[in-house]
Amino acid sequence: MIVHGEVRRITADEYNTMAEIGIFDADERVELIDGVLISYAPPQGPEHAGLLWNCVELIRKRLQGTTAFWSQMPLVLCDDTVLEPDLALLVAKDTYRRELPRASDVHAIIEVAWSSLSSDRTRKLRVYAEAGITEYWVADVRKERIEIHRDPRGAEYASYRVAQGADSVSFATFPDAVFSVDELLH
Amino acid sequence: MSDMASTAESPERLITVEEFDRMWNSGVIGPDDRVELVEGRIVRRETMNAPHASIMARMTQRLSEALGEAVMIWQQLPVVAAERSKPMPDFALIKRRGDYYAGALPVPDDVIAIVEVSDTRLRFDRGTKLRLYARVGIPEYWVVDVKKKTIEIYREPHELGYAPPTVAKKGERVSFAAFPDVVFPVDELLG
Repeated sequence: MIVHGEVRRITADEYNTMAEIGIFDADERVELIDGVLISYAPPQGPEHAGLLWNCVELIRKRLQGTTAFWSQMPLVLCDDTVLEPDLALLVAKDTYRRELPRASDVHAIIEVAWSSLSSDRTRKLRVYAEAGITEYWVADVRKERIEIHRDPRGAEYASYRVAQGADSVSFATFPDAVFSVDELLH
Repeated sequence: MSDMASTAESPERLITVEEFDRMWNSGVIGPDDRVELVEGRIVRRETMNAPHASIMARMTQRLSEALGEAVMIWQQLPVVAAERSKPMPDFALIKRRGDYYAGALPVPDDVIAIVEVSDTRLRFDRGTKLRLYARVGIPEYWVVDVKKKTIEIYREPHELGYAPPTVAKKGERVSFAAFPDVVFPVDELLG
């Protein structure tokens, strides 16, 4: 369906109010991208959930105390975009209980991609790059590999690397915490 | 946004009339927003330049004079068209009601005809809006082209649209199917 009228974009503040007053059902996942509300499928069952849990736990164990973990909760990327990334590593702050984190609070974002692979690669990559997220990982579950994007330039990332199997990966901000792709994706 | 919204795996989250009303009541949408809800999307209404406003004024006067006894002329007021659509047509001819619809807004069954006066939104008015009005069974729909000074008259709604329109130009005369004896010269309506 295409609407040729000028769509009235929704802002991040308005989106937050809509969530507060219960416009979205409790079990509904809605993100805001470029001022447009997007429904997205909840994690696709036990396998996806288990994989994400494993990833988050491993990273959490090794980075405990150095960063805050924000998993599938709203993150304000800009005035008209609010996403709920699978995992965001944030600057540790005590303000998050009152105010949603913003792009400037983010060290890195990880999306565990299953069925949402193309949208994570294209739409979200653009949004994250434009918001200046310095590091973005797409964990491609089907191909058992991790794509690491760094150095945002406009709507893209200048640096791109694919890691798989026993390859070591680490975050630019935390170079001493080293993971293998195998342990993260199994 | 259209390519983005059509991504099958994460479709656009459409808004219902009930949610739209709550957004209004809670101030998410404010009085400064000239918006309407069309097919689940909040759409800005067209800003009027002088020719557009002038046609609105002419039509307001002529329609009221000629049909004001027979119907209510609902000007840029909301109509609940469907679960996800609450458009504010430029003019809706609706059935007279003693309470002026104080209890509930008009629904398609109350509507005799809708007129949209369009300058920069012709594609929208002939596309998305036309399909909406046809689908919910609005029996007659006029699209006034501000620049060309024509009136497109659509009748015989079906699921996907209307029968091909008749187009009236300056020098010609138009009337609504429900009021065939009330004839308007196009020049009188559009100047």
